Amino acid sequence: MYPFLRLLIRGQRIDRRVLYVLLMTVVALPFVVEIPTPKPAISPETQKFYDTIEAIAADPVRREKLVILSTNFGAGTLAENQTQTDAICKHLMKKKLKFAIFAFVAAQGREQGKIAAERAATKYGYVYGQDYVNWGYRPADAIEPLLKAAVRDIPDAVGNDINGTPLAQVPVMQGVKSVNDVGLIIEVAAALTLPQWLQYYQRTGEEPIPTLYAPTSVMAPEGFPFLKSGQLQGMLFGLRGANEYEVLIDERDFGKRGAASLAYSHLLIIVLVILGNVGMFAQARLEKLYREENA
Amino acid sequence: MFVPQTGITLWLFILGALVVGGGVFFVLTLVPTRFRKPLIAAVTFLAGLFFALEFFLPVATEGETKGQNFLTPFLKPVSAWTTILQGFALGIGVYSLVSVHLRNIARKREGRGFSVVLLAAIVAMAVPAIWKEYNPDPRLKGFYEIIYDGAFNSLNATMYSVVAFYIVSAAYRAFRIRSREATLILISAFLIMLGQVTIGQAITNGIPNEGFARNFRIENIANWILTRVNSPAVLAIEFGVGIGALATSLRIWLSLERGSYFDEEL
Repeated sequence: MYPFLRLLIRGQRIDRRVLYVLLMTVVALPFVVEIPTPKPAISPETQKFYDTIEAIAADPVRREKLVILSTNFGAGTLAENQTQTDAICKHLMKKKLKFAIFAFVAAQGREQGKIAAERAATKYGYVYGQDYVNWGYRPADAIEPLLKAAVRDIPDAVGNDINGTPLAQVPVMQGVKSVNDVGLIIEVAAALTLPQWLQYYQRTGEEPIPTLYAPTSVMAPEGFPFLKSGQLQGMLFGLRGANEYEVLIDERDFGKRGAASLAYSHLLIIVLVILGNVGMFAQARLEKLYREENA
Repeated sequence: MFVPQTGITLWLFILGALVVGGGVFFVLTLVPTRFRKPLIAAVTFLAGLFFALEFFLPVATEGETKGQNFLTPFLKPVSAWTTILQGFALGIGVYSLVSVHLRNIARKREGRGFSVVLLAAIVAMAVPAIWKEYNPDPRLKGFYEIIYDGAFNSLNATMYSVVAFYIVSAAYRAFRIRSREATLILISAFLIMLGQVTIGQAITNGIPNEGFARNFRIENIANWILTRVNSPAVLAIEFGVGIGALATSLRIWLSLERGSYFDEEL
């Protein structure tokens, strides 16, 4: 009896192994075959992120200052943070801005920043030491006194780059002395590392340093209050933000396929949740029908 | 005041630091048990006091020391000490991990195979990573890249991505419309999930993204939920977390914390 209701009820009892196979398929498929997806709508926070770098590049004074690219993430969030870092490096190099890679929570961050910079350097003719530098990794517990010391003297506070060369001897650091020589801070994060920049560095110079944030999607909601308060000038919302940013800088890469993978996995979850709920209501309906029949 | 040393002076400084450090450690072992906790409390208080005073004391408003007080020049050496302490903590961690797993292997405990894998992984990752810092041989760098990019990064990302499978399974089983609150959460979750992805955004692509009509585009609805509903809640939570962190910090700084390690006999 009631075969249709029984069929619907099965929707809430899908075996978890089937779910895993379905998810694996929708996540992996866009990386194997190109599945066409619509162009993303550019969110306001991504547009502001892009505009901030463009404005700095167009300003003859600010473009001579150093950009700090803080890469505080490890391999666990590669899909989101590495995609963002790759795109950011390309944009900075396209605009011929000099930058310093720096990590202070995830030790892997210095390597991931290095990988992103080296990938883009060949295309844009960037040379390590001449156009960018890697300050390396410093332990998180030491970062607050280090940042405070770096307000007055960056080369002295940070010390050496990843090759052991004193920063004062690295060509790209010539003319970079204090917080007033920093033109932009970009924090790519897998943990809450933004407050350190906001509390100890952003507003310690003659004028506030524009600050951009590229967190993972789960952390992005924590960035909105800072955007609203004006402490952040732009934000890349996880992989979605990276995909939008790739569109803006006209450098489609992992973000495009990653966004397709994300889109289909979201759709899968929505379909599964709907199936589960329909199954639940079908079961309630069936039980009610049985009760009425037995009454 | 703290100038980097080179050559023979550097080695003399290292030797001096080892002798002084060893001496301090020896003296600390002689401290009677009843004085150990007060000693730790005093050191903790003084260490915290430095940061508090440096932050709160007024700074010079002009001249060579503009923006500084008398403690500010010590920030850099204190930062270096913190880094050194972190190095010690890392060393203790590695020592503890290695000794525990070596014991597992030596005593032929169950699961010792995992201990072998762990120790082999430590050696395989640490040796080329440290070695490449001091040897410019490109083959060594290539080997490190195979280990780091080829193995470690992929394994680390894989471990993290496994979470996605549990999230899908949990969402499927737990997201049921059983109350009004659950319905609200479900609807907002659907809107945000659709607003985040291009296929979801395409549903309302036909609506103009200007004027009053833009409020009906799915990405704008998702953005409204995030910035107008979620954001205040995040702020409230962070405010609470901040107050909690302040209270906990004060308790640790003043050695008022009790429980777990704080009540143990030293």
